[in-house]
Amino acid sequence: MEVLSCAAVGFHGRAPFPRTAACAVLILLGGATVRGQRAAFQDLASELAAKIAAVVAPAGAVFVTSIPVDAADEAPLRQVAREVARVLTARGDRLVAAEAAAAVVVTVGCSTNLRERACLAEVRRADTRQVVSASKADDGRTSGDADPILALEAVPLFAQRAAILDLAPLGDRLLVLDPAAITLYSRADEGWQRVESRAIGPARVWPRDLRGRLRVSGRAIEAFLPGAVCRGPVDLSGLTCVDEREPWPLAVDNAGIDAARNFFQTPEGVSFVGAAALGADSDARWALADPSGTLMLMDERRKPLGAIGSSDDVAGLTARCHPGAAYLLASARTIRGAAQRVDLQADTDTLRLLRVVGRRLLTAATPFVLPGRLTALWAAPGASVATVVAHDAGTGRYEAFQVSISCVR
Amino acid sequence: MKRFRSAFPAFASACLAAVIVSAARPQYGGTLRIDTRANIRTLDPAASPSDVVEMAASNRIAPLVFEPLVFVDPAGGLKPLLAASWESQSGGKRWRFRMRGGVRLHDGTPLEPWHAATSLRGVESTWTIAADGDAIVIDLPQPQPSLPWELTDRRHAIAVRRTPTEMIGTGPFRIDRIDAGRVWLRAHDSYWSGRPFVDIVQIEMGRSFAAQLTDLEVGRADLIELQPTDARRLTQRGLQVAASRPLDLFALVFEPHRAGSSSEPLRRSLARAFERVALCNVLLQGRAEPAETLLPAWLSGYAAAFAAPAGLPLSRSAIMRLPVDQRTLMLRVEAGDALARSIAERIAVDARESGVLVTVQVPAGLAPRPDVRLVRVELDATSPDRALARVMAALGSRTIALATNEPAPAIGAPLDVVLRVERALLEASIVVPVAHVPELYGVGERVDEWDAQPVTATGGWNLANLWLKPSAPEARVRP
Repeated sequence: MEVLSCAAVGFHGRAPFPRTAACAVLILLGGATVRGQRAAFQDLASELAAKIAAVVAPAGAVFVTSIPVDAADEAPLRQVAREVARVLTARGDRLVAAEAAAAVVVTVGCSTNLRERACLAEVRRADTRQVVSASKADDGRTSGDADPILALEAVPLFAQRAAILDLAPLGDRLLVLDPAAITLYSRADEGWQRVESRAIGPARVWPRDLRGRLRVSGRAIEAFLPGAVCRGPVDLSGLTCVDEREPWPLAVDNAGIDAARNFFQTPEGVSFVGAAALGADSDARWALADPSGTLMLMDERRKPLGAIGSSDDVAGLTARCHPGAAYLLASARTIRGAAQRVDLQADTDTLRLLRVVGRRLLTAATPFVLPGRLTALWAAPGASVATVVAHDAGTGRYEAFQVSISCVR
Repeated sequence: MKRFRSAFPAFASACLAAVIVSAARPQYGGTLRIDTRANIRTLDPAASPSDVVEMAASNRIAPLVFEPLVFVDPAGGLKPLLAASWESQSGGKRWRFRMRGGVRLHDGTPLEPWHAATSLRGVESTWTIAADGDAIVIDLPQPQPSLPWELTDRRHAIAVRRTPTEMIGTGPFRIDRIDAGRVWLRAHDSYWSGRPFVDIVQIEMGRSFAAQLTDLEVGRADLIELQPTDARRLTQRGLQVAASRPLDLFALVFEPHRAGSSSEPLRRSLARAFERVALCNVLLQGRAEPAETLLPAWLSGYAAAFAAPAGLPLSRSAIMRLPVDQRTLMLRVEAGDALARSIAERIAVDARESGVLVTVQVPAGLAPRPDVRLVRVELDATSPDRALARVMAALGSRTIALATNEPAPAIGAPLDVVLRVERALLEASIVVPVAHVPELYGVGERVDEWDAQPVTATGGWNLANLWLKPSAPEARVRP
């Protein structure tokens, strides 16, 4: 297996444990091929569309449909079908929404066999059926180009005994939000060194499952807490906190968190713990983890579309190697047997990298076992890095990681 | 620098262990015991046994000994094996294969390009093959753009004849001896891709499925051939079942007197009369896939809906109006194929619901002429054009002539041509696909694998990757 490059972030207080060791961990975690990404057919779309156009009489009523061979092929197949529709429309064909209204029905299918990636189209007109194809051979010299392997890459960033609600790396500095204060650290030879700390005042009674979010905009920071917001400059001078319920910087519109609760609500009143925006290959606009641990889909009008799985929390993540695709970083309790095998406390969570295609949930990388229960999972909308905090009950520490998607081609 | 005292080592090991379930390092040595129904007389790559069971087993064992220049990657595409790279000239009329360095034959001598050239000349008399430096050059009478696919065939594996009876190759195992009941293979210590873990592979031949199951359960065998109908029995005992992708096709083939156009509605009705999904899920215990096409989608690359015939079946009332002799069919299965018999009986039950009276015939000696046969065709894990051509060859020219006038797809034919031929074959419902079944194997308790499954997706045996756990006694090897 090829070696992944590990992010150049230091190990706070962990110098003797070499970075290469962490890399080794991550490389082994990256063993899963992503079926959802395996086959890309976009490069075949133009050729197929041209061949279809050659056998379809112009200016007709055409119905374009598709047949996926495999659920993982669904998203790329949609792209090909869209390209076919675009080409036919551009030359004057009229696309109709129902087969019954069409003079010509074009059925597109794309898949792989041992020889090639291929797209086929059946052009059906009255009693005649004609098939055209476009393919790209996999002859051993070109293989792998379209097959990135995804892995979750987790870089340990910071640890402390107090709960870490969120943190924000700022070059050589690091802002850490905990239940009592916001602290600014600076990188030193031996790890992070405290520079400044400001209490979040005045003292409040927080919910037991306290959540908090940092947002850095230029030289200003905002700390969002249940029923409160703190604002000030990055150097923390003049930080002030006020009791107000503000929308948090999440993927979906929200009204923040009530002072005594740990979940958000959309403007329509749908409760959720975490949210992620979805890509164009999904039938939905957002995925939400609701307070009962259900992963549900929501359309662009923020109307729930139903459950597609389970997850205690979720955030959106993008992959640099796969522009346009949206992934979900979702957490769930580690399966009991797995926790025992890995000699962890039974109470651990596992991070999963998922993708929603249509309304199907596809696994995109090997799951990642955290050293304890997940206490925070945040990613800015469109971000390629997420902040993950886990509480290791064995050591009594909160461990913060930066999690991103690594690609191997 | 502070000493590292965080939870990260635990985290790291946790992640490692979460991925590598079995943490023990593999151990070398021991005898891996395999059962097979086949009676193998030779592993010569050029031999073509007429017995299908022998051919199937030989196709799995011979590649352990003799390797080709190129092989089909189970994940798709071709991968170099004894050839490190290849290139073509003159539109595929001339090919140059640069040989991999550091490969040793089973007698310890280096594999030279002339060995490969001599071996290939033995099976391809019309090709001009010559060694050229570290490569071999193949000149073909006609351009063949897909020659590397051709070279993945078993018969193109490189075999060096030392004496009239002794052949050696470069594979992970060498032939120790073959006698009437057993084949012994020994680990090739200088194998270019790393010595296998086990010392010896002992293959017990001529074992029925029932005897193989018993051998596995009492610890007399480590790897056995398995029928889908027995898979649950093994998993319930905590034993592992290894499987390929679907590589066997079960299909109904109508006899000439039932292949006319007048019988087509009845054929179509039978084709729609049985529940393929239930057959695969219940009878075949979820270890098979319903087949609407000859090639499964993973081999063809197109959905079944593209190839399935468009005609409609008769309604039950229309079938019931037919004279009894017209809606009565004798379905023949091979006497030795218990799985085929089970499938045929299930088809007969379902067909009766639709008004088609099917009687299953298992001939022993002379038997009345059947109307339809349930055939089992071994599929080749290769390109779709080759796979379909070989299915057509296996069905026989007589059946193919009844079904279509289309010739087999030419080598290298594009996918739309393959689909057109398959569609034509299925159009008249003279050949009716029933199920695609994988090759299944039961794996014994003491067998573990290193970094890949015992059986590849394309059916290959990955024996070099298996090792034997030391806790289980090495005893009970047959004398």
